[in-house]
Amino acid sequence: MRGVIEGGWEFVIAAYAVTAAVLGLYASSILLRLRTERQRAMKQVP
Amino acid sequence: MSAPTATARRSRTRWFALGAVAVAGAAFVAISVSGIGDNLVYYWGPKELRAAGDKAVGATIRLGGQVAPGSIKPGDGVSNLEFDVTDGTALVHVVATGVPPQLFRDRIGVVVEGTMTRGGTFEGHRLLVSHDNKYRAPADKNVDIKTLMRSTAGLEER
Amino acid sequence: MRTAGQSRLSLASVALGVVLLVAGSYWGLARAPPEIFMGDVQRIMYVHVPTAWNAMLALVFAFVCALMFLFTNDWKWDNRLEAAIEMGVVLSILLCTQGAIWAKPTWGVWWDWDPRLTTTAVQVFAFGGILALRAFAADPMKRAVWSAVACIVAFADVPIVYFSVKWWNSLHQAQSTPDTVSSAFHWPLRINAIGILFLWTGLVALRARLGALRLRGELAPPDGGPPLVTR
Repeated sequence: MRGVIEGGWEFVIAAYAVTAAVLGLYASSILLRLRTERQRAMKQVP
Repeated sequence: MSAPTATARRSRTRWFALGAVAVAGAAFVAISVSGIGDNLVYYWGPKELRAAGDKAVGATIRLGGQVAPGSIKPGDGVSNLEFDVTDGTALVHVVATGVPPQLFRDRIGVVVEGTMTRGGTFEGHRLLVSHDNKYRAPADKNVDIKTLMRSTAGLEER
Repeated sequence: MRTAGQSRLSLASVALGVVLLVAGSYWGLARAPPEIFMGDVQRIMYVHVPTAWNAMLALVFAFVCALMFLFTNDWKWDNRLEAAIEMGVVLSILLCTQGAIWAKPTWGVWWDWDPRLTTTAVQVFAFGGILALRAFAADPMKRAVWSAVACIVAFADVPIVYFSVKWWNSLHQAQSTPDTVSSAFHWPLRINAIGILFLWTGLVALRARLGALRLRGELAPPDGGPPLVTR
């Protein structure tokens, strides 16, 4: 009972991985949706 | 869409904006000043728990405070961990089961879930460590280790 | 052409944000020292705290957009409102996940209903609820007006999240200040905070553009004539 956290890198890696995954997936979803919508808009207004 | 309609609509939505701001402001003020929040007690401090006396006995409640220095008796590692929780004025003796989080030490902030017994001992069955807002690098030269140990408890401002 | 330039600027902002996040995280993971009691687990701070600050900023921006829409009835503020709320919800969910991962080794539990965590959960559900309602509202004008009103009302929770640790007993610690955090930890925190700021502002601009395109499609007459909204 030293009052010090030993190790715990698995938590650190998990936190950074979750951050990268959430931000990365959200960014890609915006870019994908934007591309789809642009293509649709091009078709609608020639 | 004709111009007058758009203007009328805009003037109406402006009133909506003011109404919504009023509702939000009232809600914020109600929660911050009126004491609605006083009923949302996450934990009791040792002083409040002592003051409550018999009313606190039996129900499942949370006790929060600092681990009194020198009061930790480790028990057998799984149960009968004993320590005192203090807020600087009052003291509550805790007997807890379970393995405490690694940060558990003298002067650390804790939140213990359990029940108060008639004998005045708090029987904890869930022990959480509450970290304070201080983060220290090992090479911080202007930090004296004694002040550091004193300041690492979560609740010294109370 | 104007929009292509805007998109390029937004993408540049996103790219700059990613570069800063990589640099700040490298500093935080590899260069910064471990905290004396928390050890390496404290490194989670370099993503958790910047996420918290930026989630709050995104929702402040949403609040501004809501007011601007109701005062001007300009659709661009509705598009920005939708984008900012979505960003605020994504960051708040991320915030809770990072917090849970940090809480387990520190507090000993993944989650507990303390005031800070509870009010943050309210934030996720309130703003998430507005997005859900938007998905069901067919009339663009009603959707815009009512989500702006709901956003202003829901915003009452945002300062409550901030003050929760000051007003009530909580498991979550109070705000740190530069005085309570060693200077060795400052830079990774700042770099990541600015990184996420650039990332989300760029993404919100792109998301607002997406909303504008969708709205133009919605408001366009079915015979393929000129759309009502040219923005």
